[in-house]
Amino acid sequence: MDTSDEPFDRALLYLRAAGHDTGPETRARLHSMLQARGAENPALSTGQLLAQMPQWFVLPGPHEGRHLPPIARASIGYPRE
Amino acid sequence: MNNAGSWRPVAFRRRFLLVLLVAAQTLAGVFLFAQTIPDQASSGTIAVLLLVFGVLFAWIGVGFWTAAFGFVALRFGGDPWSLSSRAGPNGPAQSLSAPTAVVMPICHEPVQHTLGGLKAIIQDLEQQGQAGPVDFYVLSDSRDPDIWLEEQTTCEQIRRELGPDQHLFYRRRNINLNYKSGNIADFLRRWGRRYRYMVVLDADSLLSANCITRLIQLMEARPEAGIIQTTPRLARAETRFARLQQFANRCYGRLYSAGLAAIQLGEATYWGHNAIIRVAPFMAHCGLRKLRGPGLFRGPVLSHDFIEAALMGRAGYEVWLEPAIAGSFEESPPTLEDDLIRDRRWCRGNLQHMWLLATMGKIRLAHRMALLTGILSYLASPLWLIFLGLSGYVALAGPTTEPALPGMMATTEAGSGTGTLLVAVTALLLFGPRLLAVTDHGLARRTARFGGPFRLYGNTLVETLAALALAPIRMLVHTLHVVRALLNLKVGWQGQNRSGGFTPGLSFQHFRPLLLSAATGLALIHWHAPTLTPWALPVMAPVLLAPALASWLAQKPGTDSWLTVPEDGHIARVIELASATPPLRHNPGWLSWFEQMVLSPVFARVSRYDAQPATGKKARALERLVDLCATEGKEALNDRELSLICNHPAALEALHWRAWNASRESPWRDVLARMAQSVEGPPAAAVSLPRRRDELAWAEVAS
Repeated sequence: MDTSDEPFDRALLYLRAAGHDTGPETRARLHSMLQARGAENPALSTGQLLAQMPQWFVLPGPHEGRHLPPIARASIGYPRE
Repeated sequence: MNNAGSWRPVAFRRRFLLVLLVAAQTLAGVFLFAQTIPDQASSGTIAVLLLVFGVLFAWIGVGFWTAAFGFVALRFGGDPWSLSSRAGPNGPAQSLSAPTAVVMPICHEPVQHTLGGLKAIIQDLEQQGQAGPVDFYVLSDSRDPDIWLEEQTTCEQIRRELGPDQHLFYRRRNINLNYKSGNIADFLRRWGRRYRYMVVLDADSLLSANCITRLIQLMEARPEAGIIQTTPRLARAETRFARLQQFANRCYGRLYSAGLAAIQLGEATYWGHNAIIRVAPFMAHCGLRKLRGPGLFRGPVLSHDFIEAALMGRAGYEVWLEPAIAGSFEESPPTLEDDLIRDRRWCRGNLQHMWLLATMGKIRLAHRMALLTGILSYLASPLWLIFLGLSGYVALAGPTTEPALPGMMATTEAGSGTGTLLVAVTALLLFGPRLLAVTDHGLARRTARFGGPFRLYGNTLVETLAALALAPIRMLVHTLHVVRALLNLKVGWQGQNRSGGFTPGLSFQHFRPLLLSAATGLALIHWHAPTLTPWALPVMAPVLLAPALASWLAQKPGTDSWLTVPEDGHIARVIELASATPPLRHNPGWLSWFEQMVLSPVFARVSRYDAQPATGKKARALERLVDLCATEGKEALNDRELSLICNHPAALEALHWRAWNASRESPWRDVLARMAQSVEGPPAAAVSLPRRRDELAWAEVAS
């Protein structure tokens, strides 16, 4: 896969990294979305375009983060020598 | 359980007998040895030599008589005073309701191997239907983000595989105070109140479900017990060195542990892992202050386990060693070098106990003796060296032109018989435990499990020869360790190498100081007293051959049946589970874990977690780090800085988008190219792309 600065290639890679399918339909949709956004605002960087991807495609949800049980604070007893 | 405190008179009688036997044997040995010393030697030298000999002879005597106690206990079907015997067989499974935490403190360990073991323990408990009241904690002190991110990811993966009912938690400390004991203390301060018991694992520990449930049952049955220590069997040995250790542990180790348990009873020691602890008294009485003495005796307590057992005893709780509990395993260091490196840490930690022995009051005598034993286990090496040096010196003072070492060969006709007798007694003390162990296996009809009687005898001979060859190396290396520790030269306290990987070149480098010392010593002996050269060679030759020997031992034997142990034929289920596929099956080798974390579309949009958003100075510092990492790549930051970014969702997300927006000049463009290769698959088949949605995509792996 090309990783040139072309927004389309970068976006396709992003989709793959997210586990999204990259079949013809997805590619066509991606292409049209990028064209539309580019036409609206030609100054948008690749990064800014990619940041909008979660709004265009169903990508895996945000990471839930670490799971830890609620803290039950206690102290440790230090013996006198 | 009946007879709450009545084990104490039994323990007293047994210990008294042990002291009597060791003292009698030592006095006899010193008497015999004194007969072999040439009269011409100065009285001061003779006095020192006799003193050193007495200490060393008593030291090997303690080992022999402990094994003899173990032999007797095992021949009578186990110690009737042990907790296991008094509690009876395993109770009903449904009786387990005590909230228990199984904790695994780790620091820069091989992640897949370590957490694969933990996963096996969880699976085994789950299959037995006993996982209910048990929570599992991975307590990481790792600082390298490429390691702790893999740890975190693997834990997440295990959680996902085992289902939502499994309580596996990953906690990493940002500040690594007081090594392992500090890590456990940190856990206890946060969550200790939630649990009645805590089972402590080492990174290479494997405990079967039956073992864990048995430990909990014994704790429930014996409220006076503060700690119950199992005797782990060595398992999963692959290299020759590890198999030698495994064979020794399996063949003779049970004798020592049975003997030790019989002598110590409720005043045993804690070995730091593969044990269960009653949390409330441990928290109340076993905190470890930093030492405030000079040099080595300042700073955190390094070998914490013996001290914690002593503190538990001081608080009125019992500490039991229970060799009868099966299903407790650990691994041997894979190479001699790793073993010696581990000893360097342990030596420093054990010698610190001298300060604690002197300053801590109200410690029970049995625990004081255990601390002394731990100290002597390392001090014995310089004592052996002093003994050899003095023996050579005294031998030169003899009347004959052919000097002979005291105790080895007498200088007079009358003394030669005494010397031979002393050599025979010494050999009995050194090799007697091996003979007792083999006899015990024969009488118990267990030789078939070791590959038959002849293979057992042959393997015992091989292991004994290897131990003899390694003894002088250990003696010199331990002496260096002791000197370094007493001079307070710092050593690292990293996780040990558990997977081998020393090459002959590395072996040579590792042993270079030792080789130089041995070669110089031998040359000096030969120059000054050439007649002593034949006596010095048995000690020096293995040392001079150490790199070759270590390199040979680091390799895997040609056959799986080399030094067979029963576990080779009958693999415990927990070991079988641990040896299955590692938790992460799709590990993309193209990107580091930090790079995966940054580029992952899942991680980038975190909705987490317990960290407060950075503000003020901290936020500005993070911004600078993100900027540096985005423009110059991860190499521009150190581990702490990279970890800081990973710990702050906003910073990570900012870096994520900047990395994805990488321009032609940005180092992240190369990372993206590698990622593209990873996602697309070959050239090399390092990464197999998941085909189904429920299999892990690379990006999910990074979660």
